[in-house]
Amino acid sequence: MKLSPNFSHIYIEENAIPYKWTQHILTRFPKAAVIHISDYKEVFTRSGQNFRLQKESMKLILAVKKDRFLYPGSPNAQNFGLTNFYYNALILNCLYDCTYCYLQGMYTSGNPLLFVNLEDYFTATSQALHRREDPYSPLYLAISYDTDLLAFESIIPYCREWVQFARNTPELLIEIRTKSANFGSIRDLEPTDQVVLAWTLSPSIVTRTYEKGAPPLLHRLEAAKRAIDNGWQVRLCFDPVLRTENWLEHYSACIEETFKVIAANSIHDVTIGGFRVSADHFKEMRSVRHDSALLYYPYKRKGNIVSYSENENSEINKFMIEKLKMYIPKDRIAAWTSL
Amino acid sequence: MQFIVTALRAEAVPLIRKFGLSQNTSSSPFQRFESKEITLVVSGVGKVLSAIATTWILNQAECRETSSALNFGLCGCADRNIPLGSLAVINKITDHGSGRNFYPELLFRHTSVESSLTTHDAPVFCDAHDGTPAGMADMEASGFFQAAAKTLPLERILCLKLVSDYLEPREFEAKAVEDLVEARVGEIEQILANGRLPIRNQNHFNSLDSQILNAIEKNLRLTFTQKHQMHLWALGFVIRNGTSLKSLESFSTRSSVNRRDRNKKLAEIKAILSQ
Repeated sequence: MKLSPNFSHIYIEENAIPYKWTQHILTRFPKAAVIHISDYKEVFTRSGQNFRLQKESMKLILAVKKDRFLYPGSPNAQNFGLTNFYYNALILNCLYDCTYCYLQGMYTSGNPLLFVNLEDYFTATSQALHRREDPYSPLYLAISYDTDLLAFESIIPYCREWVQFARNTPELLIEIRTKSANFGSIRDLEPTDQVVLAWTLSPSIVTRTYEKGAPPLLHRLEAAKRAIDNGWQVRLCFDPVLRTENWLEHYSACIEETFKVIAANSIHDVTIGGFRVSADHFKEMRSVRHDSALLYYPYKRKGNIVSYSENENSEINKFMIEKLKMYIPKDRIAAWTSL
Repeated sequence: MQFIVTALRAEAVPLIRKFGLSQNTSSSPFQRFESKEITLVVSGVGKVLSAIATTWILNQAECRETSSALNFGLCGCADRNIPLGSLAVINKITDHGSGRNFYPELLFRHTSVESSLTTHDAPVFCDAHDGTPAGMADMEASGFFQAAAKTLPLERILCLKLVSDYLEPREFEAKAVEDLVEARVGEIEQILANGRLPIRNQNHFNSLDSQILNAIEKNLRLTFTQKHQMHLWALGFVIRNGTSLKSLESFSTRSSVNRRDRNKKLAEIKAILSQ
């Protein structure tokens, strides 16, 4: 089958047409066929879609988010001791196609859905900031969870917009998590300590085998280094750690490679954690990716979380902390522990 | 199997010739033409008949995993920049009666025109009192699409229309319809060839594996849940190790005497399949 190239088609919700970011994307993809839709759910949540095939020929969906501009932080993610922990969903789905990604279990569509009413997110964030539970702690907002926002930066420059917004909004701390090497697209911005750029790092064998479309480890490290050199706060995330064949050897090499490129004392902090995912998403992930040995590992279910066994997760944390402690103090390592 | 649903026999004739289909004379209630790989059904005019014919033919499909469905037929077009006789891949179907929209997947590369289409309950013309319809207009696509989507995944449903008029009242003789279709039959064949899809989920068990699993289910008198669990463990084992389930062969000949014995053996099976 000869597939059409990515973004050959753009579905646009009728009420999204007047928005500036819709027009920006239409200018960016002048040859794309435009299909008007009444509601993004007509396309994004319909049944019978083929997630994996759609990832091979992605179409953009542009829509207006009507409510829920912030969600409370997930217990599967680290909050770094910050009590007012939230995340938002500016874009659903990602440009990469990682085997272990929970998005394939969360959405029935593999097409990226972009919400174009950015101002509404800013308004909701400002309101949440004023109403936050603990006024002595900043509002910690992860803006790149259900997507990779920096990877989209050349399509829609939301990282740039959020950095500017954060700079003008005291008490707001945002995290932009990415596997992208696309730091160049925000290189010209003045760094701010209200933004943490967080790179997800995996051993080269993992990036090659399980992170389709994502840049190789070295490119991510070089991007992170450029960010540090420009004065940004950078977080390194060895997360998820996958217990694939010879994983001890591979993660050990990955850590060594990381600190060959990046000076350990220049990073903000490090996160680690074994693979874990909500049980509901996991079931769907397996049915989407019926051929993946990684997903058919005999994981354990505890509550609504599917992950390695407690012993396996402990081993991951112990090993990773031991290795990382050779470079950075333990109090700068945040580990996910099974609940 | 590639299923094709057309409203008129005249729309079908050039396809029947091109694909070498022969009529199944015992077929009722719809005319049906078939070869080893293609089955064509003539539904009659209108979305209800199209939906019935589509459901009818797809329910007879032996292997739905590899089946695809195409709705092909003439349509009117509001846009005079699109030449008469053009073949259009439909990217949005609106049911005029209900106002509901349907979106065929557009995964494969093609060089034809693309358009939205509205399915009407009666012929529609440019001077219609409720305004000139946008895009293209037909009388079947929404019925076909809804029916096909009940059975097939979206990527296996396609709607191709041939622009026959600019929504002006016009009489068509069967021969004229055939000639219009004849001119595009090569393009239709090409689109169908380009749109051939891989199977979604292949079966990971070979016939011996399936035999072993069936025998274990029987011998150990597994409950429904236990069967399901064992299949999941077995699937994981085969995918992870790339080997067959031969290591379970001994369990396929040993029957369990009681529940305790069964559960013990199942635990042993689980331990093997966790490797």
